[in-house]
Amino acid sequence: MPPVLSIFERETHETIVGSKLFQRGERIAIGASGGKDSTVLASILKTLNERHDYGLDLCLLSIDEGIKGYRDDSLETVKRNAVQYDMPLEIVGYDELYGWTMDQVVAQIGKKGNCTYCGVFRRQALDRGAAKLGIKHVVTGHNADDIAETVMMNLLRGDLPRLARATSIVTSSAASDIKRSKPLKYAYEKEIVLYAYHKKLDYFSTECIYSPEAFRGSARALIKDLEKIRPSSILDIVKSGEDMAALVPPELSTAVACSGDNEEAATGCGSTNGRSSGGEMAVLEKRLAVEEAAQYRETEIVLPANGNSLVQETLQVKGGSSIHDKKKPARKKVVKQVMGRCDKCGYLSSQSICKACMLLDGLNKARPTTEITVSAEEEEGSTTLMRHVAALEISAS
Amino acid sequence: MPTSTTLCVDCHSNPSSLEIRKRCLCHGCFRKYVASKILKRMETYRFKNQVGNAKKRLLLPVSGGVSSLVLLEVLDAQIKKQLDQQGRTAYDLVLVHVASQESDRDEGEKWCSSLRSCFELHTYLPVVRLSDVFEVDGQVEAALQLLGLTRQESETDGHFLVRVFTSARSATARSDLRELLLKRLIVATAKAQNCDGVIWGHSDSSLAAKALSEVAKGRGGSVPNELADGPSPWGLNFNYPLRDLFKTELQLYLGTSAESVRGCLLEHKENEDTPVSLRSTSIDTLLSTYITSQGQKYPSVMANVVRTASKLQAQGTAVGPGCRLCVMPITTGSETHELCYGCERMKQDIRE
Ligand SMILES: [Zn+2]
Ligand SMILES: [Zn+2]
Ligand SMILES: [Zn+2]
Repeated sequence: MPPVLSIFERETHETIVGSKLFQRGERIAIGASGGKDSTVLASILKTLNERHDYGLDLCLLSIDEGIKGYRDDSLETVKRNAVQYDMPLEIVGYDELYGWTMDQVVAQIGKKGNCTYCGVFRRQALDRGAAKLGIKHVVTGHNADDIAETVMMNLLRGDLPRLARATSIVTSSAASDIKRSKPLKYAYEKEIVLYAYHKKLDYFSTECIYSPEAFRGSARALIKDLEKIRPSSILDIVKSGEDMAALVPPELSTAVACSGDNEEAATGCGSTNGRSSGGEMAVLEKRLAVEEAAQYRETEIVLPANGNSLVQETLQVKGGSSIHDKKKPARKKVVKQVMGRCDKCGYLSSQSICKACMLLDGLNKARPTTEITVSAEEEEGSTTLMRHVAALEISAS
Repeated sequence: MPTSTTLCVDCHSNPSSLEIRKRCLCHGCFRKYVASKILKRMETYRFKNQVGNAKKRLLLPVSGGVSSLVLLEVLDAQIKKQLDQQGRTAYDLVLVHVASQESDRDEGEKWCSSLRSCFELHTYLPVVRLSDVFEVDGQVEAALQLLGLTRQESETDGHFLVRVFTSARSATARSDLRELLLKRLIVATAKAQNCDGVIWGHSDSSLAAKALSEVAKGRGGSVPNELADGPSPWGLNFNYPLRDLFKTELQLYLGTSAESVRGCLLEHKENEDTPVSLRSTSIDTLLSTYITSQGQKYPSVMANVVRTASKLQAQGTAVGPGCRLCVMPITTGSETHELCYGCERMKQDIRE
């Protein structure tokens, strides 16, 4: 065995033992996409479980979003993996979890908006799938590169709670039944590729069919450049993320909309907020600029006739005050959110209805419609819907 | 773009000539806007916040770049106004200029005297060089020893400094070292001058770049300390009055300043040779380029990085002794560490 392999295995073992990730007899679901990260995770966990006698009951858990043609190859890969690693495989479909496949969602709302759904549904899918199987611990293939990217991304979008969650090796909240962990947290993507190569692992090179959302895209490009300058920066950023996570003020750290709201898996069709490049970034830019301007506006704020709800939301928060005002402009209060359960599905949520159920509600109300083809007007229509959804997200987070 | 018929939204009388953060302003109101943003961050040093008669002495490092000139111009105006109206000032400024090159001291002195003719009310220290850090900072050599850098017998300050930089094998470590030594020099100078605090000229843009760069260098834990106004782990107050202004706004401001002030602008000198490849770029330079380029399209998003990072809780020095080199809290777990993670990381790039 080439030394890189044994080093990688030893380091992963050290991470598992050092962070006390597992307990004897625990049932573990490996979130399997068929991609290299989760395939390597399955392979190495099987190896280590036998070598060091962890006493774990491992299985593969795959989610089928129901995108025709997209998952076919990767699910085939996972099925072969199940045979290769002699692990039971459970495939849970969006139709089972939500009553809608992604293809049906796309047909309903058009192509532009579907990524909002994809993202929200995806965040809960693994946990819901595990719950269906009665498994309380899900492991995912997030590697150091993914985490570094998420740290930078959340700094850029101003989301400290998510930054903190992304860096912790285990995430679970008091109210949650499902524990999530990332045994490959300290592994460079390059090591994972090498391991897969040397072990001749059977994986599916998932080229995400959606372009990454602007923030993630920007962060990803940045990480790649940093890696060229100093390869260790990836782990240096992970360390920075851990240290910053410890400094997130308590009133902020509970303000995560939903515990299932993990940073998105960068594997598979990771982060998807649309093909429109710059989407989320442009929205935040606009919101911040409007907030800023509102602080200085002396006169009554007149909303444009087609004022979108995002802007409205913001203006309600900020009191208008003049440049010469002595008193500071009203600042947005951080509301401490208490975790509860979704009234509809019982899933952990900070709101009475979780995001997924909110989206489902909208979908189900509009269900009895004729087949929709994506035309130019339709694209327009879905943009409005997107805006509506985005506004909901703002108020929900 | 504002048309000639658009009135300034602040004074409602002059035609606007600039669009600043979605508001159309005339030149006069724009200058007021910039000044108010700066002075708001100087509130701690106003008369009404003065304890007893304790007038503060504040060190203001001036590089001669856009940011430091704008800062000086605004503070100078405030001090003049205080003298006119009350016959006294709430604080005194002590100006210090660090020569860009070790040999440039005379040039620096010449420049300082032209600056003094514009802003004559303040105390000007003799121009210092980076190598003076060995003179004024009694602990710096012991700290450098932790990196494996020891002064040779009869080695001059200047030669030692050159050797320190040549032993840094990466552009990132070189720039990291330069920043650290510069900060130690400024802090030691401030202490030697009995100053209560240092007024830094970082714009919003440069603070954002700095925050991201620290994160990329494994120094994320010290970011809130690096960005905070008020008491710093260095034992002095730090203030960043330009923190709410973009670099581009400061450039606009200087463009509307008096000819004599604009004449003081020193051509921006690159600390590093223009990098030929990404590999020879420092992380600091990369992030500063990133913020500048992204800032053209998303200025508020980039500005928001500083606000976000500032929400993190700054760690007091109470957590334990800080890093011997950068004085920031050590989070590596082991108590035997004398260097923080970021400085340990830098050390890996330093070889004699
Ligand atoms: Zn629900
Ligand atoms: Zn005006
Ligand atoms: Zn340090």
